Amino acid sequence: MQATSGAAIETQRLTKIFDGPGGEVRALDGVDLIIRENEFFTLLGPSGCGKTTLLRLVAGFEQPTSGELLLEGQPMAHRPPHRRPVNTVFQSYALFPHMSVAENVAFGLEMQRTPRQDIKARVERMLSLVKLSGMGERRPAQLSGGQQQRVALARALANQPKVLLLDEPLSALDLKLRKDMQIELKRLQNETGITFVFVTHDQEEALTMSDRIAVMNEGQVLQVGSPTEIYEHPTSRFVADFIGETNLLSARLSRRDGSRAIFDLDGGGELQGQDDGGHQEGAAVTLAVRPERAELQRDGPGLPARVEQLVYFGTDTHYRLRLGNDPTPFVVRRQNRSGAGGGFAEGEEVRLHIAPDAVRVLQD
Amino acid sequence: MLKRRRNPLWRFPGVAPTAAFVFAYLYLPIFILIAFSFNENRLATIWTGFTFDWYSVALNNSDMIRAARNSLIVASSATFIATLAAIMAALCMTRERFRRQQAVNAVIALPLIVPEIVTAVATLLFFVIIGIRLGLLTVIIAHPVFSIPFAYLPIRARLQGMDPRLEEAASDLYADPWRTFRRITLPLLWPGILSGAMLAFIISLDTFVITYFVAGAGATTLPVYIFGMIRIGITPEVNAVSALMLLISITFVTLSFLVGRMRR
Amino acid sequence: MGGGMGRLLRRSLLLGPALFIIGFFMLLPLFLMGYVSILERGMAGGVQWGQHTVEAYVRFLFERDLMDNLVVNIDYLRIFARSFLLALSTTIIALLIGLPTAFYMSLQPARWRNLLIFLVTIPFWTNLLVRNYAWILLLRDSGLINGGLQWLGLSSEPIRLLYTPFAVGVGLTYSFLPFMILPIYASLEKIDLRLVEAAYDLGASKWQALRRIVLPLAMPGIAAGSILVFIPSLGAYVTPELLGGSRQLMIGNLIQGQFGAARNWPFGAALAFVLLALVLLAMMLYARRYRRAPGQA
Repeated sequence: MQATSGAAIETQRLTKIFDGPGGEVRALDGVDLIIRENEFFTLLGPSGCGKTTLLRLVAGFEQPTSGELLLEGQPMAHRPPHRRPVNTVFQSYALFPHMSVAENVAFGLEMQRTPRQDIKARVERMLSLVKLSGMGERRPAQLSGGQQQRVALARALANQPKVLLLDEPLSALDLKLRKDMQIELKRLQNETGITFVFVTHDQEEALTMSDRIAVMNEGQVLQVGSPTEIYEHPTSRFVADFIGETNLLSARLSRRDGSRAIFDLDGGGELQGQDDGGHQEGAAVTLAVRPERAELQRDGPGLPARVEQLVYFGTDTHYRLRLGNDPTPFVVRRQNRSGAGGGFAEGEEVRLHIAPDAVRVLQD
Repeated sequence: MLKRRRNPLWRFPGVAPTAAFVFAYLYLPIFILIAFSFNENRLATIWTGFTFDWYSVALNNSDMIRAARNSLIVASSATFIATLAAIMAALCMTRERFRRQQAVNAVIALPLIVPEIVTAVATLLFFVIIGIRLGLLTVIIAHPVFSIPFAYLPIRARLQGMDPRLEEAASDLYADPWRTFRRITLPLLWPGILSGAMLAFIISLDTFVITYFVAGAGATTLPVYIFGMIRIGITPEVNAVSALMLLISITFVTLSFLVGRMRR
Repeated sequence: MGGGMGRLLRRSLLLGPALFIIGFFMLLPLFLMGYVSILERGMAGGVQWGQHTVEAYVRFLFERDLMDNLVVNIDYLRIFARSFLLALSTTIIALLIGLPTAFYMSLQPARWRNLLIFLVTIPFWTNLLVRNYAWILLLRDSGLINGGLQWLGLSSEPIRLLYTPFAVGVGLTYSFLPFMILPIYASLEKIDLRLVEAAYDLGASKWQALRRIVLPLAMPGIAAGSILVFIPSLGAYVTPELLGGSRQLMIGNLIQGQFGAARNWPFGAALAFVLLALVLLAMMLYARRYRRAPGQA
C-alpha cells in the first residue's frame, strides 16, 4: 500500500461492517480519503452516514473490517488507541469525574511518563490557551458545559498530537456559545498547526470552519473539496440538497452550442448551462440552481413563472414560483435592497432569469 | 413529575392499612427477638427486667466463638473469591457484545434459581465422589458458588452506569488496558465492588442448608450452631446469639446500601 | 488489544473463574446427583458404585410388601402434594398482601420510597434461621401470641399454633414476602401514569382503571414475584423444620432425612432431582411467557 506524501491521514478502501439485530450494517463502504497536514478537515453528513465510525476507526476504538488506514504513512489499522499519535475530543467530553481539571489535562502526559515539572508547566499553558486559568482544582461536575468542553480540548491538545479528532464537540452548546467556540477552534488550529478532523452534521458549521469538507452519506464519501467547491459545484443530488438550499430541475440535454449546453426542462422551457462534456445529447440530467443565483424580473427574456407564495425574512424574501408544469416550487432568494417594497406580489406573473454559470449539472 | 401521591384519584381503600400490616408483620418478630434477648426472665414471654447477661453468656461460649470464627473464615474467603470472579465476569459482560451472553447470564444466575437443598445434596455427593473429607475446606469450597451472583449484580449495575467513553478517553490518552483499569475503571467501580463484596459476605454468613450438609465435625459455622441450639431447646442464650446475628446482618446491609448509593 | 484471537482469549480469561466455579461446583454436581439417583443404595448409607437401578424412582409411588410385590404407596405423593399446596398458598397470600404494599410504596414521594424499599429489603438479608426462630417464640404455646390472647381474655387455654400447617405457612410467607413486594414495586414504578389518566379521561372509574390498566402493566412484576416466592417455598427446609415439627414434612425435610437417619442416598438424590426438574419447569414456563428481553441475570 503506497502512502501519499504530505498526508496526515490516509484511508484506502476502508470498510467497516457491523453485525446488527436486523443483519449486517455497512457503516463504511470502501472509503478512500486523504487528509493533509495542518488542515482543518470536516466530515459532514446526516446521522448514520458513517462519519463518526470513520473517526472512531482513526482513533482506534474500532477495527476496520477491511482496507488500510495510514497515519503519516504508517499503517495503523491494528494498533490500539493508546499507541496512536492522535487524540480525541468526545461529544460528551468524557472528562474523568473523579479527577480535577488539572489532573484530567495532565492525564495523557502522565501516561507518557513526562517529568512532573514539565507536566505542571504544560497544564498551565493549556489552561490559559483555552481560557480556563485558575480552574485547575475544580472538578468537572462543577463546570458549565462550555467549560467542560474546553477542558476536553485542553486535555487532548496537551499531548501535542499530530492529529486532533473532534466528534461533534459543539452539538451540546447553545447557539451563542457555539459560534464563539467555532471561532476559537479555528484560531487554535491555526496557531498550533495540528491537523483537525472535525465531525458534524451542521453544514453551516462545516462551511464556516473548514479548509476542506468531505460530504458523506450511507458509508460513502460523496464529494471532497473546499467549502466554496462544495457549495458552488456540488457533483451529486445529495450534496446539492444537503448543503444549503437548492432547486433541482429535471431536464434533458437538447444540444450543444460552443461551450454552452442547452437543456430542455421537463416542466417546459429551456436553460443554458455549462457544458461539462459528460453527457450525450438527449440524456436526462438533473440541474441544480441556488436560490440566490436566480433573478426575477417583471418581463423580458427568461422562463415564465408565477409567484405562488412569498416569505419575508427581514434581510431577504423567498419567492416560491410555479415554473411551467413543474409541480415542485422553484425558490428564489432576493435581498430586500430597497426595503420591503419593490418586490413582487403573490399571483404575479414574472420572468425567471438564470445565468448559465449558475446552472450546475449533477452527476446523478 | 406528576403529583400522583396527593391526588385523591389514587386513594384506594385498604391499601395503606395493608401496607402498615405488612411492615409490622415483617418487623415485629425481629423487634420481639431483639427485645427479649435483653429479658432477664428465662421464660421468654414474661418480661422481668433488662439485662446483658445472656449476651455475656453467649459471648463466653467457646463453642459459639469457634463457630463464629469459622463463619468469618468461610465468609471472608468466599467473599474474596466471589468478588474477584464477579469483577472479571462483569467487566467482560458489560464492555462487549457477543453471542451466548444469554447463556453466560443463565449460568451466573443458576445458583439463584436452584433450591438450596438441591445444591446442598449435589455438593455433598460431589465431595463424596471426589473423596474429599468433609470439613472446613469443603465449606470454603462450596460457598463462593452462590456468592458470585450476589457480588455480580451490583458490580455489573455500576459498570453499566459508567460511561464507556471514559475508558476510551483513557486509552486515547495513551493508557494501556491495565492502567486504564487501575486509574479509571477501578476508582469509579469501587462503590459497586464494595457493595457486592458486602452482599456476598452477608449471604455466606447467613447460609445454613448448604453448610449443614457439607460441614464436617469441627467446621460448624454460626448458623449451623444456632440450629443445633434451637434443636436442643429454646433458651435466652439462643435469643442473644440470634439477636447478635440480626444486628450484624442489618449493619452490613445498611452499609452496603449506603456505599452502593455513593456517587463518586 | 489485538485482533479476534486476542479478544477471545481475554474474554475467556475474564469469564473463566466465575464460569468455572459455578460450572464445576454446581452444574457438574447436579449431573452427578442425577447419576447417583440411579445407583443402588449402599448397605449402611452411601451408594454402591456401578450398580444401577431405578429403585429410587419406583419408591416414589410404590413400596415392596413382604412378598416383594409392588404396592402403591402414596406417602411421598402426599408430601409432594402438601409442599405444593403450601407453596401455592404462600404465594397467593404473599400476593394478596404484597401487591397493595407495593402499590402503596409506589405512590410515596421519592425519599420515602427509597426508605421503604430499604426497609423491605433488610429482612431478606438477615438470617433465615433466626427469623424463623423468632416465630417459634411467637407461636409456641407459651409464646407471645398465646400470651397476648390470654391476656386480652380472648382464650383461656393456649391455642395450638406451632407445628401446624398454619405455622409453616406463616413462616414461609414471612421468609419470602420481600421477594414478592420488590418485583411488583419495580413494575408499578415503571408505569406511565399518563396512561391511567387517559383512562380516567375516557370515563373509567378508579377500579376499572386499576383492573384494566394498572394490573395488566404490573403483570411482569407479579409473575416475577410469584415465581420468586413459589420456588423457594417449594424447596424450603428451614421453615418446615423449625415450625412444622415432624408432622409437617415438606420435600426439603424429606430429602434431608435421606441423608440423615433414613440413609437412602439414591432416593434423596432422586427426590432432589425431581424437585429440580419441577423448579426448572416452572422457570421455563415463566421465562417463555415473561422474559423477552435478553441479558438480565
